[in-house]
Amino acid sequence: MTETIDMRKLAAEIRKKRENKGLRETAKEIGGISASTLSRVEAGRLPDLASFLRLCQWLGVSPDEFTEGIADVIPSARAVSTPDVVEAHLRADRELPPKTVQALSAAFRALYDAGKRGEI
Amino acid sequence: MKRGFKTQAEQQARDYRRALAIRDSQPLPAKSLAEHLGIHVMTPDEIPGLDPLHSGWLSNCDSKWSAGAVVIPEQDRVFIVHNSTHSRSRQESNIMHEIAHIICEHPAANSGINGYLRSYDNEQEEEARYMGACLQITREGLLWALRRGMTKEQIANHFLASVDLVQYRQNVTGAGKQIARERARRPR
Repeated sequence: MTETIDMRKLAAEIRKKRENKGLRETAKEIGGISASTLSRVEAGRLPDLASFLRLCQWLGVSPDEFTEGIADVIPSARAVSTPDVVEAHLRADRELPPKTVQALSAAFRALYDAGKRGEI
Repeated sequence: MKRGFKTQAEQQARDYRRALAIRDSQPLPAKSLAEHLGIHVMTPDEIPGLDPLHSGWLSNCDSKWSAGAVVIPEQDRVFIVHNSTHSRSRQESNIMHEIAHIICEHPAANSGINGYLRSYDNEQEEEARYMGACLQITREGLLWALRRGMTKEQIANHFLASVDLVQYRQNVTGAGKQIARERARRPR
């Protein structure tokens, strides 16, 4: 699966800004992120979208700095269509029948859209 | 699993029960924990705007899926969708497994999407399996049940779990061995 974030660059930028400050103190400074999440990101593990955006804000840079080749990772724009990405995720998730992959893709998309519209 | 993960998971499971005022000897329904965490649990037929063909298929026993979680990051909301055709204990396990992924803060493999659909990562799956099982049956809960002489089936029924999960918890906690030692030490 293709990475969408340059984790090496992100981790390096975080370590550089953090310097000798502790993880807990830094996480508190960033806000909305735990020390353990911060530690995992520095170790190269991909953060969730909300944490990623908070980290970019703290670093004072645009998310584009870490997202080479991807048009936009901001929620309003999607570089990859949801069904393609769902397929990528679920294909790795054991042997699901193609009909189930398609149905789940539609379900998660509908759920996401309904949530955004405030219907649920 | 990462060093210290199991100890932390056991403690977190106890902490959630304290927060919900649920004793170790009581079952912890997955939906109660989800509600406590602000996670919405749904079935496909409850999703607005979903084509009935898709919701119908996902309600079919041949669809072979368990559950998934969707996150709307900008609203800080999490949804779990699960397969209601499974047995009660399987549904509990499925939902608890997804909750475990969220508690463990497992990231989606691709943050470029707006969903929180997890690709298969061995380490993450093992962690979620362990955490989910802890949440269903704590070590103290298992000891309580074994001391009362409950069978695996009775323990499973009591905690809304499967017999396999009870066995798994016995294996990983060493509770069975502890009970055997306690019984061996009792004066005859």
